[in-house]
Amino acid sequence: MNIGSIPQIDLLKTIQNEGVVFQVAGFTIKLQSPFPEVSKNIHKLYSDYPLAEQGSFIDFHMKVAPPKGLRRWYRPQVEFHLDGFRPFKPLPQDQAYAMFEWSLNWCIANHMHNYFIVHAAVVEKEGKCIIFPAPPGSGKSTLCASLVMSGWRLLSDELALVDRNAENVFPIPRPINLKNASIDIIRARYPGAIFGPIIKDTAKGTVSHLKPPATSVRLASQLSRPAWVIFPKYQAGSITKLEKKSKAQTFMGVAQNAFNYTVLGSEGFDTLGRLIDGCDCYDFCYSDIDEAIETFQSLLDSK
Amino acid sequence: MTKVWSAVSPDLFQLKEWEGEGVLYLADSGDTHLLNQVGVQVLMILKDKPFELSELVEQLNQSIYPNSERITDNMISGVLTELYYLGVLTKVKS
Amino acid sequence: MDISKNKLAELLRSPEKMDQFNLSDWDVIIRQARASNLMFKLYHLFEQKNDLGKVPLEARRHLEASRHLGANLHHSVFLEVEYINSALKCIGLPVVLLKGAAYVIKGAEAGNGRLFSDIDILVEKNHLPEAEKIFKQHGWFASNYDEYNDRYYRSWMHEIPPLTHVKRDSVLDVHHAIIPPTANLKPDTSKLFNCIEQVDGLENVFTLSSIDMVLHSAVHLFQDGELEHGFRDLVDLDALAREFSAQDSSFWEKLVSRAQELGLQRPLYYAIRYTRRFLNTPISQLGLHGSEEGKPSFPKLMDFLFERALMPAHSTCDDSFTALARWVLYIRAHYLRMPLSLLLPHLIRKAYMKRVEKNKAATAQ
Repeated sequence: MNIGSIPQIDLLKTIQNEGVVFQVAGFTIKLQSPFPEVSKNIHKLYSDYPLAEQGSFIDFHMKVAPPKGLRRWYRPQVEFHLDGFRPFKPLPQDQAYAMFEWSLNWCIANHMHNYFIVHAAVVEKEGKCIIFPAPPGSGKSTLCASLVMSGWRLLSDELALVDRNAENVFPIPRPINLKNASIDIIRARYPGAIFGPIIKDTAKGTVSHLKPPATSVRLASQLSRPAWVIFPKYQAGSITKLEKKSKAQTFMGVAQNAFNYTVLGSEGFDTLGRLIDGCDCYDFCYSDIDEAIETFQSLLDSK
Repeated sequence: MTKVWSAVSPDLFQLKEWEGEGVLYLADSGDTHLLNQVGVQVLMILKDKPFELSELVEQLNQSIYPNSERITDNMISGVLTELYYLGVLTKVKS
Repeated sequence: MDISKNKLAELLRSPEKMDQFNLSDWDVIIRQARASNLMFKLYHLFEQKNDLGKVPLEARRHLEASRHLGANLHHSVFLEVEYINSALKCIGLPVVLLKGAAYVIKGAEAGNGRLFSDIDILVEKNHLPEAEKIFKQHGWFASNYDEYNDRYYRSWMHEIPPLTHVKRDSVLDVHHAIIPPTANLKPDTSKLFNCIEQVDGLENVFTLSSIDMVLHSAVHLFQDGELEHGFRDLVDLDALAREFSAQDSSFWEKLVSRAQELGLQRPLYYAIRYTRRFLNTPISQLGLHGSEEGKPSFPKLMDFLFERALMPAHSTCDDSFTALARWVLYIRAHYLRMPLSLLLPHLIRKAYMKRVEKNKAATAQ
């Protein structure tokens, strides 16, 4: 049974009371929140995600709730809790849904050191995936959204979970976090795309979450072999340019974008070394999305 | 009296090389550094056997870059100092 | 207090019960371990007995993930101690490690699976100025310097404000006593120095003697008032007592008489009472009798408070009095070290500073 099969009003009650327990790829999470805004968007964007069975082990018991105290009426805020930890400072209450998304990233990136975790988008076709590691502002999410809306499978928009032997990337498809101008770009290109709320004035500017294709969610247990590591860079007016990047420099670039390279120590060095061994590495500069999509299709065809 | 350069124990670092360039992992600090072609070659040679500067330069000129511009002592002593401060080389007076 | 809510303690007391636990039990155990910073400890205990395979996969992967954090930390501790040593050596002072770093470097069982964020050392008070100077020269600076805070530390605390290394970001806590100088208990620091033990194979690096280590752990837990990691500290005490009593048949006798010598009967009483209560720590008759001397005037009240405050700081362990108990013990700890006339303004300021700090916490991305 999927989240979408629960009537919205029932889901709201569940999330407000005992919390909803559902499956996000390899993770079971429980979400509790009094905010209707949160359950409304869970219902909308996570409708294809399966509910967990009764008595399941829960990886993260997440709570997105107002902080204690008098701020309930004056500029109300939202806070994230995990087992008594409150790792972030409170945000304005209209960012509650985004708080959930960012907190789930945090839960995985800060706890699941069984994986080598890179801040990257990952998309796949024909069993081979592209890892797009990138700092914010590189146009990674726009590129990822466009590829996913044109037939590539979404593995993740934020977290590349690589196994220790660097043979597989574990999918964790979730709503794609689009920022500022890219929200309108994707909306215009794909009129059928479903979005969460437009949230203004966040640390990243205006953000909105794009619902991932149902197929990507359904195939979440299917691992994928990393074949390319590509550093994207959106540059207004630039021509489309895919250039070989040296492997050693790619290594350094991925290490800088990894969440737990340092934590993993020499094991991290080995895993990343193997990942780079097995991948073709590029820098990619673009401004035209159609050309970008074409570029990756021919890259796939040539392999 | 001349200085002989040699690499520290192989437990203390890992080197991975692609098309000449390399990445160097330092076990103690957990830091990773990018090495250019010369840096990689110097470290690889000294990993196998200690050398004096002049012997090392000779070795590089003969075996590694027979066709390119001649490498000079000056070019290499800078690389040696850098690798020394990273903690992967020792110098012994003999 | 229903201490059976503490599933983690139940598992630590009787590891053989693990076979009876269902997934919901494991769910609670992992959360309690996360909240009390004992995930890596749990990993270690299972691994040591070759029992990891018996932990359901869903829970096991969380334990295994903590191994990476722990291994990385333990690796860096040895290196950090080297750096501290090379600084103190310049002025001819020994490195005397305390708490987590001491357990790890000494190779004590309490150190296995122990996570911590700072390294604590003990320096004799008359050597503090030179030690501070040399640390500065070696790159350690007081982090977030603030005059009030600095004055507070120097007047009321047994340590100077924490030092952070500019390059490595590691944090060093320099103590000059194991208890604030104004506290009612006044163990003589020079007596501790007289019994320090050198760490095998590490020149100039020392820990307190085994007996003093236990007493320090007890003092820290029962006098400091910061009880968020209370259960973790209780687990330390249990491991120290089990290991040292097995090595030395007169351990309890020595412990009781050393507590008398240093005037630490009260914290020893609590340590013995609550390790036994939560973790079934085996205590000899001599230890039990000897520690009675430190019994507080209102033992029932202290039970009421400590049985709540020493639970993992997690909602599954709380009852309606838990928050109150922690608060009372926090005030008590400050009351034990400060004159009443200064206590209230200080606590108000501290509450304010806590708010400020909270506002500095990371921004979610």
